[in-house]
Amino acid sequence: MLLTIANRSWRDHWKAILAWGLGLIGIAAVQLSVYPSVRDTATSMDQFINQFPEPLKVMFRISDYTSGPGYLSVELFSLMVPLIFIAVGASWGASATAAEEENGTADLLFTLPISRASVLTARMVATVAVLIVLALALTATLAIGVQLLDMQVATERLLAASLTSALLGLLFSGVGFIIGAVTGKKGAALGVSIGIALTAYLLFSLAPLVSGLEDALPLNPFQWSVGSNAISEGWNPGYLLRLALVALALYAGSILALQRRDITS
Amino acid sequence: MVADGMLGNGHVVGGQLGNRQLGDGQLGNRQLGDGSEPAIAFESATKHYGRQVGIDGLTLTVAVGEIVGLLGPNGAGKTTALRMLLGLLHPTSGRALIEGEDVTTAGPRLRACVGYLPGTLELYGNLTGRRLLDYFARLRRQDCGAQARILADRLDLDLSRHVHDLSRGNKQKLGVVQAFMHQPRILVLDEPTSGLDPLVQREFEELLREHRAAGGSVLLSSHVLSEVEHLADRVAILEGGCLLALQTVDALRSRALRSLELDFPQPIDAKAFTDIPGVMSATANANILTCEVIGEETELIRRSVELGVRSIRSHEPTLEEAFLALVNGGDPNAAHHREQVLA
Repeated sequence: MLLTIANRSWRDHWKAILAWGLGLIGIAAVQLSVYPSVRDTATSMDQFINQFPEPLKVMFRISDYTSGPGYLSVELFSLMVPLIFIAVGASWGASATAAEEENGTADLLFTLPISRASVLTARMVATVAVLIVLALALTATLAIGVQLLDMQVATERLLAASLTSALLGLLFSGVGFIIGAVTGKKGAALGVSIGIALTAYLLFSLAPLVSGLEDALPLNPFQWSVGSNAISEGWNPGYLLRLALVALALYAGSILALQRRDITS
Repeated sequence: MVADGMLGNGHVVGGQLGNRQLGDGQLGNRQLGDGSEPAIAFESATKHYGRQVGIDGLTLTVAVGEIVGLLGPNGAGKTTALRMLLGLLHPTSGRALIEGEDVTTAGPRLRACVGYLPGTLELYGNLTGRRLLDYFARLRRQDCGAQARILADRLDLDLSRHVHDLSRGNKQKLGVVQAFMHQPRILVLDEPTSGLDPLVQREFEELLREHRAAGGSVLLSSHVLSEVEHLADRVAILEGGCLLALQTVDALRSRALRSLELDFPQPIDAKAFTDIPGVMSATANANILTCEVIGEETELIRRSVELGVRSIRSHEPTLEEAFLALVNGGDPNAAHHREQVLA
């Protein structure tokens, strides 16, 4: 039954899933294609970057730009890829049940002999699967590119970086789920999730520059994901656990919230 | 003609009735007798939306094998009551029960025996009728394919078309099929015939009769009396979230103010009729006498025949008039106000 609902979600949104997948692959391919010229001009490029104002380098965590892992970290995993995973996660979370409440099909769905918790759980399974598939697609694309361009990055590191980014998307899908469950409004859920994500990103970026913000860094989900720099340093079990636990807590909260609420008509 | 005993006493005024179990005593006893629970029960069910009242102290039962019509103007609380019964809304106080079990505390499997047709029906537009029904059947964990095909045939519905290509009427048919296909013991139908053409309506009514004949129960809402009068065993009238009356259609009708037009061969004096019990007003215009009547017409007809009446025209009471009779005891001044409200 969980799979019946999850399967329906995938089928209903296969075009969007495909589009996000192609987008990720496309961005990865474009960035990979530029890398040879970066490497060929490594010396002058390094000099050029060294001229960057220090705050900028700190803010975008630019170090070792011309190496394979350094390049992928700056160009993909510090902003673009996490943003895409957040967008996917938040939109899946926001529309999990709120979309059906808004278009009125919830009245039939929630009067079937299945619990609201089951419907939410099925949608969570669907969301997790989509994020994993996208992460694997990204990993595969990068693995091929890295091989072709001899970038010296282990596939396992690529997988670690992709999944760490996907987990950030999972966390923000949880925000979408819970706001959607509380309000029944997809727009509100999406807006709040993206808003929180952007705020968190801003705090994360500015943290190295503002002393007060640095103290809050251990609480920032971007620190757990982007901050773990998985492509250079590999898996960070502590951070991954935090991402997963917060996502789980948000999922559980959304189940509680939806069970208590009246379904809007 | 008046079914005495269905209502404890003459006119019932809104608000008080919520707590009075009209006709319920009888039903309850019968059920105690054979030991079964009513199919559907509301026990002082109340739903407030902030300050707004959805339903207020609704007490109502639907016996096994009974069709009860829920009548009332828009905003009377019909949809609130039905959605509460399905667990979509949580009661502010009181309870809604299906086969004796509280819908808010019982698990979702309680709804397995219920077929529901929402008032504002929305279906997955990107699916074909067949896929949609298959999806619901899977979620019900029940094989409903054969039954769905039979129902679609009877309602003349093409299941191969996408939902977003269906007309309103055909969408409604699909809604009916999904409500009936798992052969539920209880049907909860919110304005089920809206959008259906008369031919399909007749087939739908036949489906309901078959359902009842098989021992099934139905709670259906409507804002048109004529729609439920030849279907429902009893009619519950809601207004402003309160139960105004719960009685048979005949009893309801006879309680309503009817207008009779009598044509005599000679000019007639209205005074000869004003003393007849049940005649609320009588006005004469040359040969034509117009009377407003509540209850039995026997005496009125007898006296008209004595005076050589040539023809009698009766205007069947509308739901509005039935309301009037219930709320105002037939005060004609309230009629306009009431009609405005209903419009």
